[in-house]
Amino acid sequence: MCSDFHRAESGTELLARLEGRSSLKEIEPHLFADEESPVHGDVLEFHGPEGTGKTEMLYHLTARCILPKSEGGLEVEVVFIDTDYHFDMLRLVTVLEHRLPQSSEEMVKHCLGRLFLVYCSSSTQLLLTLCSLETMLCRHPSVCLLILDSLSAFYWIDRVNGGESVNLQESTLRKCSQLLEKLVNEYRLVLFATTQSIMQKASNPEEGPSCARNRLSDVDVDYRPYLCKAWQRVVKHRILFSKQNNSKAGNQFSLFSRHLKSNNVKKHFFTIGESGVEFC
Amino acid sequence: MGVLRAGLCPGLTQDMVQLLQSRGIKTVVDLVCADLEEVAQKCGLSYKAGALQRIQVVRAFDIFQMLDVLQDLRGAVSQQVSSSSGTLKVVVVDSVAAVVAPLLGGQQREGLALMMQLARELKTLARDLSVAVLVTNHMTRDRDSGQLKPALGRSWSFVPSTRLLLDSTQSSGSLGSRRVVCLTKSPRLPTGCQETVDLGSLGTPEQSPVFQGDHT
Repeated sequence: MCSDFHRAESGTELLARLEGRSSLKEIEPHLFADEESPVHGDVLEFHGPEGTGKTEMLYHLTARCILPKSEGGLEVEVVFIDTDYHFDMLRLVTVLEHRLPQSSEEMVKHCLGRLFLVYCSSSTQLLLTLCSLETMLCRHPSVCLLILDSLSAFYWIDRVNGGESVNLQESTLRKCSQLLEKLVNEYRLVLFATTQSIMQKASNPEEGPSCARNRLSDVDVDYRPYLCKAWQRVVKHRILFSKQNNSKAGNQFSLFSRHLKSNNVKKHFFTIGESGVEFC
Repeated sequence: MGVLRAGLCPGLTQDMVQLLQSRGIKTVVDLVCADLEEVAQKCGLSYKAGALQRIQVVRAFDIFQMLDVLQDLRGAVSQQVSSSSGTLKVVVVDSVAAVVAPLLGGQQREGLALMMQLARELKTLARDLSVAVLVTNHMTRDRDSGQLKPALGRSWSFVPSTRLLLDSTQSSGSLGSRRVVCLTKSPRLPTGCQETVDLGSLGTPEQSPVFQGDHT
């Protein structure tokens, strides 16, 4: 079916698909060192408990993308899929207004014109949305970033709907993961997806020399993979979020960024202000 | 039986009783059967009756009843069945822990799935009907650290977009009416800001009491 579809696209569309996508290498220099900058086809996972700044980070990256080049943005389009009904437009507008020197309503509207927002209330709806995304991506060659907040929203509902068979439980999410991988590779996008830490902390930390070497803190151990293997395979870069608990640090957040292939682990600190995420 | 007399309920003063009697309303049954709007207009009870009519109380004691109620609500609003109260603005669930807590615990996934289904219903309700959804939840003690944390676990903690923690002030030996309200989760404001409110003197609409509320 897919090859038929591609044969039907026009030459312009083909060119748009293959060449029109801008680079996202500069999307966040604080977060990604040069060799690890997200390139086309990368899938990055934001993982963490509630209140650790994952959605704020997504607003930060979205703002960076949709702002015009003259204001320090990348002037590319973003597709934001919200499965939690969590997206706060007022918050995004506040972040944009703080980053635009003369924040006129015109300018903000212009920026928001580069954002495509979709809501999904079930994993089947997510799958159908992803299927229909191909047409949309062909028509909008300047879409470079795909955001999914969050991938784990339907986890429990899917598990019960699948009955006793783990295969059936995971099937929709598996298809979504495969489709996401395909979209990201064919249309040369970057995907940021959030997953929530809904499992209890691992009571027995993993043993073994490799784990001990890479364990920078308990946050690393806290990560318990629970989503389907298809998703685990697709992720290239995993970022674990946590919030500092000591009152001295105030509202400080930290994240561990691990590039899964090179196994490079880095720690970053940031605060969240009126204008969004600020790295320390 | 049920003759209206002063002191039967707050607000029913002797004057009001006499006013109602002059209109032919002598017993509780008369009052309930009367057209409240008409009575209010004639007896100058306007704002109280009007205000009370704008609150619809529905009872639900388990999660399936709860889901039914939400479905009915959607149906009613979509058919634009308007009571004289006007459009729906706020849905309050007191308390969500009461219907969900019995489902949790043990290894059953079904309980968690039902909880997330309720969460989804509430969130889509808020979004589709443009209403504010306010739920109440209680606190439990963490098994490992012994600290207080909101009930219903990790999965529920992602559901509300705003969270207010209500606590009694330290100075109160007896419970008193003062509470400390702390913002513990917000999509727009920094967390940690606190306010002290006095439940006893709350009367203005902007300061409605919120008991350990989770605001969806």
